[in-house]
Amino acid sequence: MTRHATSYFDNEGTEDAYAVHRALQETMQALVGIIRVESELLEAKERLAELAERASKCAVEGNLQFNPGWHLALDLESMLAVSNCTTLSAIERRESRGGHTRDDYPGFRPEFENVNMITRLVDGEYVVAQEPKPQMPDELARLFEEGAH
Amino acid sequence: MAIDTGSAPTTAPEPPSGAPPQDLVMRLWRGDASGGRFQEYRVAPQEGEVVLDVVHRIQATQAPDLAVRWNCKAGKCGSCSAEINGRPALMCMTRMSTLATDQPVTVSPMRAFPIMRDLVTDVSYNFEVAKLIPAFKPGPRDPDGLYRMAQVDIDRGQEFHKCIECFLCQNVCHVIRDHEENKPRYAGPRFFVRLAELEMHPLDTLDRRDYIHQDMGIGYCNITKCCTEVCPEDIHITDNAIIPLKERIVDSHYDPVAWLGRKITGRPAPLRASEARKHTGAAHAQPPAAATPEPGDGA
Amino acid sequence: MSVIEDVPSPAPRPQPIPVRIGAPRAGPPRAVVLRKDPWWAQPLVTGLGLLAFVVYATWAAFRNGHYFIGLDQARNYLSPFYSPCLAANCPPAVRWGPVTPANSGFSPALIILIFPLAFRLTCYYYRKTYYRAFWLSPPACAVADAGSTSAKPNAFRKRYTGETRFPLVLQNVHRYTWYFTFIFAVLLTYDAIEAFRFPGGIGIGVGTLILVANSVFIWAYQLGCHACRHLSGGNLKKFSKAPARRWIWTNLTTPLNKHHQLFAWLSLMTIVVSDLYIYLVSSGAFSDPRIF
Repeated sequence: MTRHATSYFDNEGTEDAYAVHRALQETMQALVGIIRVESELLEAKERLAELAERASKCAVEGNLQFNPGWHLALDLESMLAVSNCTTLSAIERRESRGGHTRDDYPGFRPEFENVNMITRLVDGEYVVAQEPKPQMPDELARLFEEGAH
Repeated sequence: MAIDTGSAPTTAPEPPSGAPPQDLVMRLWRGDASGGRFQEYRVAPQEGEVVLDVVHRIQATQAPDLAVRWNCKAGKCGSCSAEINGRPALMCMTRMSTLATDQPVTVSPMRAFPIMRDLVTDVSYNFEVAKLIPAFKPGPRDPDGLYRMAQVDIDRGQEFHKCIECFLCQNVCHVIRDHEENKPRYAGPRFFVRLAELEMHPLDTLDRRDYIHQDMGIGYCNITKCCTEVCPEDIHITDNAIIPLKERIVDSHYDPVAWLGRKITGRPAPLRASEARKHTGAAHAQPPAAATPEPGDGA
Repeated sequence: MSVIEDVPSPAPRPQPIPVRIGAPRAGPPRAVVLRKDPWWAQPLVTGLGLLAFVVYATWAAFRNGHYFIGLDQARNYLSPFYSPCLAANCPPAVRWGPVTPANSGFSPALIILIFPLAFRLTCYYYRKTYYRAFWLSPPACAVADAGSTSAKPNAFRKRYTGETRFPLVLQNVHRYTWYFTFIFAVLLTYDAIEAFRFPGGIGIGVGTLILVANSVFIWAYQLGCHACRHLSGGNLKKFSKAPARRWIWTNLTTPLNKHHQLFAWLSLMTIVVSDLYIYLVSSGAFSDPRIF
């Protein structure tokens, strides 16, 4: 873990963590924003792969002490993971629900009502799968019923 | 960790007319415990920027390892304290338009504290003082089990609650800035604000006056008001916290008539510092092994 | 150090704050002044202002003449430097006392000046001003204390102890100086009222207006004093338990205290202007115009 973290200092790469970070922000803002469509989400998926490639080549200047450039390079790994989860789940959920709005699939779909989208890293690849939602505990369900009237 | 969450354009927008804007010349302090110097950076100005924006742009484009501590960018977290053109201020609340940009703008770390790196200082002194503030000690509850406070008594302390602990007042206070040997015996303006808040709390029952006099060293303050001048929350530190505390200590320690009044009416003598000390974090913790013995006495 | 015996003396040794000192400090050395604004202007101007007052007050106090214009000169003005006039050589019309032997030649101002002087010397606002302008401790914010940056501190600045030791610990007598000057404020108001006395009735001259302004500013300074603000209500733990004192604190002493600096200077100026005006009229430089 430590070796991985410090490996950025020996990186031969030429990428700048701040530039990759900005590109990631712009990608997610433009393609996985408030209103989503499949074509854009698929494009985002491809771009994220490119960005992951760039992020791994970040070169870090300076030393271990309070080094924001290095911290950003490390954080990019997590930001890419979150971006991938968001994008893959958004592709898979072919409906509009809550904060997730699909221009190509307006409205609720009953088949998605009781599933969560779970993204896992399998052999270095992000794989999304639908899994049934955990059952609501009885006492919570009762509260909903009481609140109904 | 510096993550620019804004979606600022990558290039400076051209001004609507006239000559292209002159580059800003920023002189930022770079260095660590082994030494440092001002490094000059040139960046294109952008409309409506604050100093922190410019520092971030330098970080993103020219100095990726530039250390700067920041969080909220809204003057509410108290992280980005620095000295801008020598004046202690928050970087996120100092507009570039208020500075003379025809000459270099210097940004240096808070000079009262030990350096960590570049613009980042070790402010742990303040947290050590914080542990030594005798805690809030409410009296008994009302018969129905509740505590009650009058609105006028609550309003009085609101000003002190505004403190964001940026420690600019601690930084500018010459008692410790220019005489570091006083740090072990002086709490500093931020903590006089905290102590005033407790002493004026309608439910609090602890008398901290002797403790403020002895352990918190309020007598070292010579009320030159720099803490008030630099406070980004406009707390009237000197007039509303420090001087009222000094006057309370006159009541307890220097006013013979008040003393006589206590003798005649049988009101209790000021609580001794050693008793108030039992209500501090230090009473519950082992003294740190690395603590330096009090230096400077009789130097 | 305390004067009160129910606080233990000698004080038990305070518990030091566990902090490591002597680590390399951030930024350039403190001796380097990074401020680009004219930070020296404020201590310079206020310092010169105080010096000018000291010079004038010394002259005025030792002048021992031309401090009273009596009804024989168709006015009734007494200089604030000489009120109350307690010496044997005071004009009979304004003499209280006397407390000094006849024909001692002692200037009456010297008997009383110690009280307002002590009040202003221990005033929280003036303390700020002279610590900055004369002690240079600090000369301005984020500008190093004089002597604190040199490797060899001079004899007077071995260590900074603030107001913890003699003589500066005496600043704590401020409220007692307030009690005494309260009497003076009353007397100066009396003098201002007396200044309406003209031969054969009531009148108003320019001098009357000056003395009235002086007594107004003296009161504004007196009642805005930090010690007064504390005693009027600031020392309360619960405002809700003392509505009358809270009212005074909220509506009188606190608003005046906010402008304590302004009234400190205004009252200082009107004292000088009153005395100088009376001196000039009395010595015949010009005559006091009657308005009413």
